[in-house]
Order: sequence, then structure tokens, then C-alpha cells
Amino acid sequence: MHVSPQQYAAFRSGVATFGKFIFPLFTWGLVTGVAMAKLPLSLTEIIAMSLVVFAGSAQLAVIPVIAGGFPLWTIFLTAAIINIRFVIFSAAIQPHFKQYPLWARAMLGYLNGDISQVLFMKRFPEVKSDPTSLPFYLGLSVVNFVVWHGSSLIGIYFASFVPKDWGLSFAGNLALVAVVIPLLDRRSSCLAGLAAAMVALSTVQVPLRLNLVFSVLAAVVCGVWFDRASSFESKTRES
Amino acid sequence: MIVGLGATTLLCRSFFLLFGTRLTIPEEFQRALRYAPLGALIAILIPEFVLVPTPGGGYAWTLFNPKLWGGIVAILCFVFSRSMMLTIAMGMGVFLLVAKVLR
Repeated sequence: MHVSPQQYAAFRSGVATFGKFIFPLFTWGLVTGVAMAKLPLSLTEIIAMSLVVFAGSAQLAVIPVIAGGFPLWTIFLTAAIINIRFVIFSAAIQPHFKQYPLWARAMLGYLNGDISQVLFMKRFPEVKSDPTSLPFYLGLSVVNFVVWHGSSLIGIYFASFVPKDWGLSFAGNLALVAVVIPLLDRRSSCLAGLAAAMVALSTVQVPLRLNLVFSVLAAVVCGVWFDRASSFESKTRES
Repeated sequence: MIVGLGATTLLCRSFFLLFGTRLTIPEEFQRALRYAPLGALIAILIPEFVLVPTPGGGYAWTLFNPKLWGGIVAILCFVFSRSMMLTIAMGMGVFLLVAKVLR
């Protein structure tokens, strides 16, 4: 495959863009690894699961289901429900990558993550055929993949040495503040964020972290509603 | 089980991608989806800052919550400084102060 200098630069820009946000991902991976190490499985099985499943929140959520000895389908169902937000994300990146072969599309979806999704959508908000979108996405994904697996493996191996005090995961969440606040750059996104926050808080008791899905829907609905309302307003002002 | 869980991840994350060119997502819908990752991150962060898990498996709201004050300071700090390192340092500082000193 021929790689133009422009595409190589986009790949490196993807790596650099994610580079600033390695810290929150690292703490998530570490915390997930520590939790995984407590599963009633052999070390090989735990490592295989971490490497294959590659989904932090889903891995954490299936731990009690596995430990409780529930039937297999309940484990899969739990993981699928936790991953629902990625079904929505996949619709958002589909127009950018739909021309690639099936195996490539499957891989691109598999490699996606919360932070990569944010950073990709920020760089490519409009859908147009751009030769740099794929290398940029791959740059993000490489960092995501390496940091996630590195930190999870460290968590699994050193589970007994990592302090139980959740200070580290809190530090990771503080770093996410630096990802979220730049997204609140317009009134519509502030409103969408506010709606998402209220929905997330009021539905926190709903099982399977479905409050994540509700918040995504709330953000989308409010954002669109505000966009519609303000474009209607500007149209009436013009006429 | 492991293979099944891996397949679940793959299927969910590439769901719409798997349709390929057979599916065209309307531009309006595409524009709407720009708000999706914002919603997900907010839903991860805000309950973590605001609510404290209780022993019964529930959640409680209290002002004596180190994460709440750490979170508020971090948000303010980032809004004014735009520096991630300073945000983490200040947020952690307040978190530890409330958690260890004031209690």
C-alpha cells in the first residue's frame, strides 16, 4: 500500500493527539487490570480475556456475572448492553470508512474507544472523502491499543501492589476534564452536556450502566433540538 | 467465553460499519451524532464526581465528598488555565486535602 507523506503526517498527528490523553486511559486500564486479577480464572485465561475482549467498562461489568456462575448468555448480554454506546459511535464513523473492505471495517470498529471517538469526531466533524482520516484514526487507535493493553497487563500482574485507595482512578477522571471541557465550545454542546449530566445522575441506579446510553441519547436529542431552534431563529431574523 | 466476549465487542463496535456502502447515514443524523461522545464522557465523569457509593449498593449525595470538591476545582482550573497537568495537580490536591485532612 502506498502511503503519501501527507498520510504519514496524519498518522503521526493521530498519535500525538492521543498522546496528551494517555494518562486517563492508563489509569482506567490499570484499574480494570487489578479488578480482572481477582476473577476465579487462571492467569492465562485472565490475560487472554483482557487481550481479546478489549473493553474496559464491559470487562468490569461482567466480572460479577462470571464470578457468580451465571449462564454464558447472561455474560454476553451484559457485555453487549455495556457496549451499546459503541453501536451509536459506529454509526458516527461509518460514513468515513464505509468504502473499505469488510475485514478492515470490522477491525476499525473493534479498535474504537471512548477517547479515540471524541478526538476523531473533533478533527473530522464533517464527512468528506479525506485521505488523512484513516491514518489519523489509526494513529489514535495504535496509542489506544498499546496503552490500554500495557496498563491492563501491569494491573493484572501487580494487582496486589496497586493501592486500593482509588486516588489513581480519580486522577484519571480529572484528566478527562481536559477532554470534555474543550467539547463544550458552543451553546448547543453546553446544553447537550447539561442534559447528559442530569440524565446520568438521575438514572445512576439503572443496572448495566445503561445510564451511559440514556445520557448519549439525551445529549444527541438536546443538541439537535437546540441546533434546530437556533437555525429557525436565524432564518426568521433574515426574512 | 473469552472468544464470545471478544466477538461481542467486535460486533457492537463495528455494527454500522459492517453494512459498508449498502448503508448511507443521512447527513442530519450524522450531524446529530456529534453530540454522542460528549454525552458518554459526561455520563462517566459527573456521577463519579457528585455521588458517593453507599455500602448497600446505592448512591448518596453529600457535601463531605472529596471527589466533588476535587472535581469542581479541576473544572475551574481547566477553564482558566487550559493546562491538564495543573488541573490534575490541583484537583488531586483538593481531593486529598478533603479526604485526609478535613475528616
